[in-house]
Amino acid sequence: MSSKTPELLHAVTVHTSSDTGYVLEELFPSVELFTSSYFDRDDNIARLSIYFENLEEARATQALILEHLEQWKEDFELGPCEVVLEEVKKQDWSESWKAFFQVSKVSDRLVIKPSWEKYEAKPGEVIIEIDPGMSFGTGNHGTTKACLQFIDSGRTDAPQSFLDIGTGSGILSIAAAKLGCSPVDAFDYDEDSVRCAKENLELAKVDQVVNAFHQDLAVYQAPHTYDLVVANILATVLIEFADIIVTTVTRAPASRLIVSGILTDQYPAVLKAFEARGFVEVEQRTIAEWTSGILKFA
Amino acid sequence: MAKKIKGEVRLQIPAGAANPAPPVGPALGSQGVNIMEFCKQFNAATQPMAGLVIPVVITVYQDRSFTFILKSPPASVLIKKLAGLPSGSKKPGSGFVGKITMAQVKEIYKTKVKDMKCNSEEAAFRMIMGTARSMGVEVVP
Repeated sequence: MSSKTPELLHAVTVHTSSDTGYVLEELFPSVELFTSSYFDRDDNIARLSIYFENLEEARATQALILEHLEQWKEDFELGPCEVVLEEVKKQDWSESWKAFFQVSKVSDRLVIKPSWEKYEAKPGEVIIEIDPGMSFGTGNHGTTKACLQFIDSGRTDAPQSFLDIGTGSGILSIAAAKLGCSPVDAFDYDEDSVRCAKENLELAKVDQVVNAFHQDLAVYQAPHTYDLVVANILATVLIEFADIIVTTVTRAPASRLIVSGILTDQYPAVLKAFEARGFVEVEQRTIAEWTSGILKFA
Repeated sequence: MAKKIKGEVRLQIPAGAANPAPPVGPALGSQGVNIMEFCKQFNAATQPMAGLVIPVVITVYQDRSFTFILKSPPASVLIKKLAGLPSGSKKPGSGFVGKITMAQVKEIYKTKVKDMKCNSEEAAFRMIMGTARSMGVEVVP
C-alpha cells in the first residue's frame, strides 16, 4: 500500500449469496487475498471486500478474482457473483461508528446518553450514561426500551428493592438505581455480561448501589423478595423458570414483575405461564416485533 | 436478554493486531459496532497466537451490541503449511506447485470440521481437495 493518505479507499467487493460467500471466504486466502465480509441474516446475502489505497492495485485484484472465479465455478457449486470496484470514503473509524448512538429520551424521566455526547438534564430527567459494547442493552432495542418505560412507571415514591434477572449491559439496574431503588441486585448467566455490567455501573457511578453477580437462574434462590423485578430474557426461559422467577417477587399490592425479551407471538404463552402462578397483567407494550408486560399479583 | 441477530461480520486479522484501520474499521464502523472495544477484546484473546492470521466472526445484534468467536485458519492456509509452500499458484490452471496426501486432507478436515458449512464429510473433503487444486497443490493417495 502507498504511504500517501488519500481521501478515498478502493474496495473490490464480491456481492453474492451467503452460501457462496462462505465458500469464497475459504478460497480467497489460497491466492493471498484476505477479505472482510458482511453476511446479512435476513436477506441471505454476503459482501466480501478487500481494501486498497491504490486504484491500480484494486483493479488488478478485481481481474485476479474474476479469473479465479471462472476456475472455481468449475470446481465448486458457486452461485452468481458480482465483482465490483467501490469507493469508500476514508474516515476515522475509531470514531465514526459512534454516529449510530445519540441521546434518546426513552420514558418520562429516563434519558440514555453515550459518554461522548453532551446533554444537560431538564428538570425531572434522569440521565443514564452507557456506551454500547459487547453486552446487549443500549436502550435502543424494543425489549430494553419497554423495560425502561415500565421501570419508570412502576417506580413509586416508597422505598423499593429491585432485582434484574439477565442484566446484560446492566442498563436496567442503572435506571432503577438512578430512580432511587435500593437495594438493587443484578445477575446474568453470561460472565462477560457481568464484567460489562460492572464497567457500566462504575461509569454510571452506581456501582456502590448495584450488586452485580454471576448466577444461573436455574439454581437461583433469592436471599429475600423484591418489590420490582425485571426478567428481560427469552420467552422459553421465562416459561421454563417461571416457578423460580415468581418466588423473587414480594407478595404485596404494589409489587411488580416485568417480563420482556418476548417476540409478540410468544407473549400469550408467557402471560399464561405467569397467570397460572397468580399474576395478572397491568399493561403490555409492543415495540417493533417485541412485546413486554408489567404484571402484579392478582 | 433477548438478542436478535442483525448479521455477521467476518474478518481475517493478524493475531493481536486488530486496529481501526481497514479492514476492521470500514467493516465494523458501517454496522455501528464499538470498534475500540472489539480491538481490545480481540487482541487480548489472540495475543498467544502471534504470527497467525485468525478468522473471526463478529455477530452483530439489532441494538448493535456484538459478540465474537475465533475460527480455525482457512483451508488454504493449512494446505500451504502442509505442502511447505510460501504461497499457492496465483495463476489458475497453470500446473502443480506442490502436493499433499489424502491423509493430510483428512487432517485438515479434523482441524476445520467445526467451522465448515458442508452437508457431509465427503462434501468437506471435496471442498478441501478443490481448494488445493485451485491453488496448484496436487492431492495424492
